[in-house]
Amino acid sequence: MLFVGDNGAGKTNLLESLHLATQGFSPRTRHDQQLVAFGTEGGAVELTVRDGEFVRRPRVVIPARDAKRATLDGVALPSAESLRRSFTTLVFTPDRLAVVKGGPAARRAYLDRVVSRLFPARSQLAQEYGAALAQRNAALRRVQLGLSSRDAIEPWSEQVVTLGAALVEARREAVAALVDPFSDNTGALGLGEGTLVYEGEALTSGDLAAKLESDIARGITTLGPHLHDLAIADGARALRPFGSQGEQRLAVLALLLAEIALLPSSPLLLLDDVLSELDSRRRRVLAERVSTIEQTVITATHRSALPVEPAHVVEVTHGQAR
Amino acid sequence: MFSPSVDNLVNQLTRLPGVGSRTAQRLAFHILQRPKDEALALASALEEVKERVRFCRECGNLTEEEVCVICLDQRRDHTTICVVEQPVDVISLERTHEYRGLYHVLGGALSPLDGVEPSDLRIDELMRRVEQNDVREIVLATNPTMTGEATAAFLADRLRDRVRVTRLASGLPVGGDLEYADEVTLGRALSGRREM
Repeated sequence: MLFVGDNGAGKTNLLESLHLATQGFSPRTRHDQQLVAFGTEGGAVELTVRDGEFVRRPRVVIPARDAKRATLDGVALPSAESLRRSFTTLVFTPDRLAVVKGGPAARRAYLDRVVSRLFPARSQLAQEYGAALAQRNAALRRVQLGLSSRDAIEPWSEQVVTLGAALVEARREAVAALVDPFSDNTGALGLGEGTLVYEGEALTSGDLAAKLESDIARGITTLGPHLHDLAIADGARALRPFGSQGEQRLAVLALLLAEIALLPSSPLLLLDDVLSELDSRRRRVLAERVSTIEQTVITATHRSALPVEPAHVVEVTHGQAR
Repeated sequence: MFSPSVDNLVNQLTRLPGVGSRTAQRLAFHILQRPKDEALALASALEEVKERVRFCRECGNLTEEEVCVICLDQRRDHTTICVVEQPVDVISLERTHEYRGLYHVLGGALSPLDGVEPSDLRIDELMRRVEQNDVREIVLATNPTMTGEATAAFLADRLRDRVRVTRLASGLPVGGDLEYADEVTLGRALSGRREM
């Protein structure tokens, strides 16, 4: 499906509302009131999702000055985000380029998202590790200030090591699963041989103990998966410093397609402004690759930007779609 | 807003956990509308509870005597101590009628972020009980939260060489369908599965 319209016509808005209605949150912002149209009080999105003969109706309401609520087939859900258990939606927006060209934190966040999608039982791991780390750092600072004794750090070092080891293992498993489909997609998109390498070692209690004195002096934990990175490269050439804008875009798309290949069922794929900066051959490859996915929505300023014939074209003008 | 004494009552009620200003206002007006002796009964109940109830010298549970009824009960197994965070956890465990040992109430869980240190919990008292009495097993029943787990780990490290240390299992709720279990609980139950 192709959404066409001029800049500012409302294509991204439409895409964002599809994400909101299937995942319970916007890919762009956590401030839900920003999603409500100017000059109106509150808003709602409702979809009819058809999967074979199966029809589902997710609905997300954002009332004025209140938290959002979601229902699925009329039944209230505990949180809007729990829609994620029923629908899988993957999205590309120009912001996602940060995964390749941004700092390591963006890649860690990306990897942890993949972990929670691929291994739902371990979806809380990154959050739990972060909580243990915050406690350990607080304990370090209290020792530094003389408010507390050294043995108070110990239980948190243990938690950081245990949860850190589990998190590194989950991330490595996710990377190992992504490598082949990623390089397959970079090859097809003409980016050469894409490689992914997780950079960081699982933490041991010995390593952490060796750093204890300097950690106390600095008041933070200087070792662990919160400092690891994911190296994304084309052969031996790292794409973060040496890739062109177009190559970085291709790498993000290849990651997205790799993730889709690993999902148990075909997701809804939302591609915002993906065709700009790609030459016609790569546009064609991308279009062919995504055509195997159950449903893909692409935005573009011109109908001709998409080299294949879409099943539906929606024209967006001044916030109206038809 | 209404009168200084009503405002004062509303403010005092707002300090209770889970009570916001609106609920406090509703409670205050409810108290005002009821007969005087009913309100005074509440006031004297508050006074009495603060006057008479204290923490057990042995286990830290709530009691009206020096030592609580559980610690005094000679029919209970004095070689096993179950460690919990709060007195309310004792009530939950007692409801099972399965546990026949003694308790030890820590008064919270370790959390440097909230300024809770080992010295703020009744840990030294626990160590003393283990040393002085013939304790054979410590059951760690702190909550299965991050702070509860860290507290359990902290205690286990200190007790392991002296006494048998066990931890409550975590897993699926009894009588529930797998269908309704969340992924994290189910994942944990899976990794803690046992031979049959």
